[in-house]
Amino acid sequence: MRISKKWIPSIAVPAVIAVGAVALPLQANAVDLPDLSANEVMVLMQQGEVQSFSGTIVKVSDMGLPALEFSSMVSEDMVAEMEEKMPEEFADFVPAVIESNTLTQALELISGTHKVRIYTSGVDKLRAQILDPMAQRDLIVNGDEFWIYDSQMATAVNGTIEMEADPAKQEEAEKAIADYAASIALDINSPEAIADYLVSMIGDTSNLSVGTDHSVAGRTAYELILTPNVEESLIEQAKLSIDSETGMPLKVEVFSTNQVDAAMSVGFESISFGEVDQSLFDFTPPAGTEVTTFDPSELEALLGDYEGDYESLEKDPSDYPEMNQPEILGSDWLSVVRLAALPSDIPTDLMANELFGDMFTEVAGGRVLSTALVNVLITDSGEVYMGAVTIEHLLSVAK
Amino acid sequence: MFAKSLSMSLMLSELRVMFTRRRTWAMLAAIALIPILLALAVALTAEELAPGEGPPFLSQVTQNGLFTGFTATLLALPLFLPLTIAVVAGDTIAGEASLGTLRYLLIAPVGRLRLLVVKYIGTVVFALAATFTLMIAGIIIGSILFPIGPVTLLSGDQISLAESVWRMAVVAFYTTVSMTGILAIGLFISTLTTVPVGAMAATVVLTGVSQILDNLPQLSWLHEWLFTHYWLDFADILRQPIELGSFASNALLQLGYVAVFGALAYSRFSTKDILS
Repeated sequence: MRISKKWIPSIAVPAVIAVGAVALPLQANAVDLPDLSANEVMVLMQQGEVQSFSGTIVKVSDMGLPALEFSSMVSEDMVAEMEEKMPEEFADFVPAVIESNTLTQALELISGTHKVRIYTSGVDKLRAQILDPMAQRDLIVNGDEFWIYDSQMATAVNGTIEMEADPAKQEEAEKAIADYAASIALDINSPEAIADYLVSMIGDTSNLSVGTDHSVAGRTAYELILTPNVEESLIEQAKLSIDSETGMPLKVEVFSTNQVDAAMSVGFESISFGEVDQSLFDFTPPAGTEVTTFDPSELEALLGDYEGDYESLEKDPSDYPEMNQPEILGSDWLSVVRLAALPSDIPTDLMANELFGDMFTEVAGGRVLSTALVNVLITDSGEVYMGAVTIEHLLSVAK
Repeated sequence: MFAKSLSMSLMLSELRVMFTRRRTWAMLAAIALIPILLALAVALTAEELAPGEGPPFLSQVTQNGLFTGFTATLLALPLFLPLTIAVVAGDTIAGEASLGTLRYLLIAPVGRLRLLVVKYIGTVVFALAATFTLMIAGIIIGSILFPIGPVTLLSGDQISLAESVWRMAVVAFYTTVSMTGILAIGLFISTLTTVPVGAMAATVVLTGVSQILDNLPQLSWLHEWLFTHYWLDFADILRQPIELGSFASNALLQLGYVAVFGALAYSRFSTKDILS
């Protein structure tokens, strides 16, 4: 039987779509920039100081953990029991059946995709919007005032930053806001912040090279490749995309020794430089919002409550609760954070919970929570060690 | 010229047939009932929902009636809206075939391609009517039962009444665009059979399958290719500044589905022996 030529469109259309889907991403690599050495790219990156831009950042984390379905795995009874046993301050940590809370959000950050829109103008105006499904969390900084707004819970936090003449103090104040934002799972790290952190890790233990020129978010970019040359590191390499014009890091990808796909990728999906609509930085909480005023003295208490940092790779170790006195052992890629004990406010129930218990594996001398980029060891004596290093290295440090 | 006026009159007669059918009006009435029942339920229960409780937007309905339309759209999207859409899409060719009218349609000098295009556009018009019915019924019942005022967007910014109405129209249009893919799938399935109910059911089943696959994290590579993937992203219209990225991705994806299943429907329908 002859097949009618009327079937041609049915083959041609999917073929065109398939070719397009393959060819378009390839185009991103068809970029040729003047050659620069790794050091020249570093200089380009460090001199860049873009102040006004708007863009959308996409974060993808694939830490190799089993995906957690809180809504289906936590039964109503379990929730009721947890509610009863937990201290009041920890009400937020009780997994509600649909509701997302700090804990689910913290876990979400280590496995999932997030979209954040960022608008900045000058040095003192910023708006970051985390685009959640059917909801949004906002951080608005305008001069010495800041707002944090959560649309789902209809809550807002309002505070002021002391405008200090001393830039060091100013920086400290800004860090305080970022810490506070992080403590309520409002993660606003941009590719820039992560790139700065990674570059600070370089030391003598890394190789630097320049990869292929490519395009990110419609901009041409150099690729800077950082490869730790210590065997014990969990990090295979990190790839930084540096805008060829402004030196701004546009994308950071961190690869783990354990998996092929990037364990973490944070990059702009779109970006435009230049003035931003100023009305975005004025915020008035809508009627019906529960507004609390930020009290700087609360910050310490809050950080004390903060139950450990899942994304420790991105954070400064000084973020850890002071009361627990973390200790940094080793340096650069082999840094290990040691806590004398689990922060006292992590409910032991939670650790015994099947959900979390399953995430740990038993090793000689303790239990290990293993992710693509961070290993956490809880020794039998209750000490906590964590770092972006192999389990063997953690165990040898623990001895 | 002749062909053009023929297409036009065919289109008009198709729309006339669709909108004089009692079934079409029954489905639109059922769609309008969703926001009405929702608003009544909220108004008649004294219990106030705390923010964050229940489906998104629901706790805002009592403060601002305009949210009834958004909440109703959200609730109708997973099943009810695709169900009515599948009924219309599955009926296109199979319905004519089962009534024995397809033969007569094709005896008239109407190309099969033209008939398919006219049928498809007819279903898109129904989708447009359905999504706007949902939104407009929501606005009307919401403004009767609750106070209305400036709408608070997800970003916490407030917009005027006029702009709210504009954004509602964009949301309804977004949802219509979301339906174009499933309409094309339904049209193709409808060319495969002479039993309209089978085509309708198959279309609904595919919608369900697509939504289930979209929820399996193991298949994350597949998600952005599923026709239901961007359905709930209409929420991006309710951000300040408006986020049109998902609108564009959604439109492109739906266009792909329309092209693929349109081509399949054409190939199948133009090579088919019409026996009834």
